[in-house]
Amino acid sequence: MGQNDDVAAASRRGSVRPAALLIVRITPADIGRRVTIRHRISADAATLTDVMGYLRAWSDGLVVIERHDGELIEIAETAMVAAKVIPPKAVRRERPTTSQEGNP
Amino acid sequence: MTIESRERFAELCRNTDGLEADFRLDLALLLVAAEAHTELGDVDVFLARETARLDALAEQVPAHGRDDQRLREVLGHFHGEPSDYGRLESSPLPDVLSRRQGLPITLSAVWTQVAYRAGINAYGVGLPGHFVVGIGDPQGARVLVDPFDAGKLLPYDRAKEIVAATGRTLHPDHLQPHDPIDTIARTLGNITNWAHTPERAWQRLWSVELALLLPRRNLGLHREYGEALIGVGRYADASRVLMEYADIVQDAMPLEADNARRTAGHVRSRLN
Repeated sequence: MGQNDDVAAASRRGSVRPAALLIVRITPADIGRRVTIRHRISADAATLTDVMGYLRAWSDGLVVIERHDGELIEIAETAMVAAKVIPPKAVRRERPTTSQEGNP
Repeated sequence: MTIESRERFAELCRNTDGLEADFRLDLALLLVAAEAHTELGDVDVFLARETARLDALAEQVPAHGRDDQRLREVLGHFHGEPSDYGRLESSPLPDVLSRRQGLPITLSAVWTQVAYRAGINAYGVGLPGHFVVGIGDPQGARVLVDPFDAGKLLPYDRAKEIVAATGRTLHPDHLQPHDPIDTIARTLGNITNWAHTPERAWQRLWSVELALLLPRRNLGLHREYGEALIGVGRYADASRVLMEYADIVQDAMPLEADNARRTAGHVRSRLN
């Protein structure tokens, strides 16, 4: 378990939802899919945060997520404590902005 | 505009492997603009002057920071307005460089051409319904920016909505680098559509004539050419082009062929 022992401790302190399964369930084969990743953001193993978005790249020990605002977030592979694929956002059919019916 | 500029356009467009990075999209789009600017004079002087403007923009790109931010620093004051869809000046590259305003496709060309000069990997992304720019690795870590919206980041889910608004579904291929020949064809198509009124007949004609010089074209372009010739009163040429078109589509679309022959007949009757 190693790294997950720290997380289990954090979980007992209430900083992580106890029911969450601390398993990294994504692989490089999930590139392009929408995922959520719980990862450590400091050397202090107890500080965890979640990033949600599309998995764009996974190489050289670095995972890249495209967040909902279009920004790329890099996460070290070793900082991940849990991750899974989540369903894509539902697409709204109506477009509220300017009309662009013609070819741009 | 001149025989020479057209020959250069055709030559340039023949020599492409489909990658914008290996193609002088800037020169091709400037040669398109040469048609709209009859007063421009020597083609070489014109090309040198206009490409120097792109060089100047690239020199202002900061050396450090995230690639999309570096470009936005210089190109963030370029944008588009809904009214740009109704004006010819929104398409030619020199006009867009001067006005800092135009259609998504030409604004995107400004971004990619400045990016190359600054050593940043960027490419045009032709979404159904919109044209944006990808920065980074098309197969991996990349961001999308929307030059029409001052180069703001375009989230993936937003791209999906834009495509969904056209009744289609975003496919990974939509986000791959756009073939520069398709980019030119789309630009010319915008001009042809804009020129669908009698007083714009000659713009319609040159936009179709240039599209016919591209290495790939759809069959409908021949019909468009015939109609554009009618628009400028070249009835004999129009009749010939429409008859040729009818022969080409005879097997696949017999009704369309009949229709084109009928139009050709009407046109001939207008000859004196």
